[in-house]
Amino acid sequence: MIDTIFFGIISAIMIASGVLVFYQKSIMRAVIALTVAFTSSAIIFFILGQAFIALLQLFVFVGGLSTYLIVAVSSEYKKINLKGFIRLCIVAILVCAGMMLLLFKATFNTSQAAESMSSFFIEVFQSYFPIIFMALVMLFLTAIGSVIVIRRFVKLVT
Amino acid sequence: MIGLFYVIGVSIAMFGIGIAAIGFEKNFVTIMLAIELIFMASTIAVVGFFEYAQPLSGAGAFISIVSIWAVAAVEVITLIAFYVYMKARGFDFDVSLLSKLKW
Repeated sequence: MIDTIFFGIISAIMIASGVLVFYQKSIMRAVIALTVAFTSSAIIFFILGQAFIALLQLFVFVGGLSTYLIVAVSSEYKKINLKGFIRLCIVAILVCAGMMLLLFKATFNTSQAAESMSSFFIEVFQSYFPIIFMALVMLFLTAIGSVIVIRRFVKLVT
Repeated sequence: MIGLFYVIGVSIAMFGIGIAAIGFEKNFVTIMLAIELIFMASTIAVVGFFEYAQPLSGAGAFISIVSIWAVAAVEVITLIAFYVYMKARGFDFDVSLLSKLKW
């Protein structure tokens, strides 16, 4: 019971900070809100019993967030308006309601859904491991390539 | 023990916020932040499903989560690439102005 209440509080903080990301005029503050959302998700992983993944989540996203912070520091202020924010909230609620409706229509059975989804993931990610490994290597090469292109482009411009 | 339905509900909520933000935001950096939120939602869903699976399989969960993280990391690098390019060329960060893609 205490676990569920704690989970509810952390989830509420995460959703609120997720909405705040788009309602901050300064991108710096938006990134700070995103940091709170990531930290909340790490706490959720910890509650779910995946302490290692929670730690990795913190480590990986600290790296990503530092990049976002650098970008945010040198970026401009964004324009926000209340009407846009209200529209955003309405669409978010509609998307969530639609997905929840789909979930209910599919006669959601917790253990059955968990088993089928996890077996699907196991099948995909273990049977096709070489292909996924190659795809990840290609992603890594893309990242390195984009860094090289940026360096050349910056040299060309300056 | 927290029910799987709550975990999936939180994941769906984050996904919905991300999708709505991509639809309505015009700032390039904010759209990238929205994509990060969607990646986070997918990670929560995967961890939730694997937590409640019988029996638990660590390797499959780990590989799937690492794959999601890899895509998220490359997205950050792509953000830097676009940011540097747009900043150097003096483009605005309003994506609605980039409709023609003729830089």
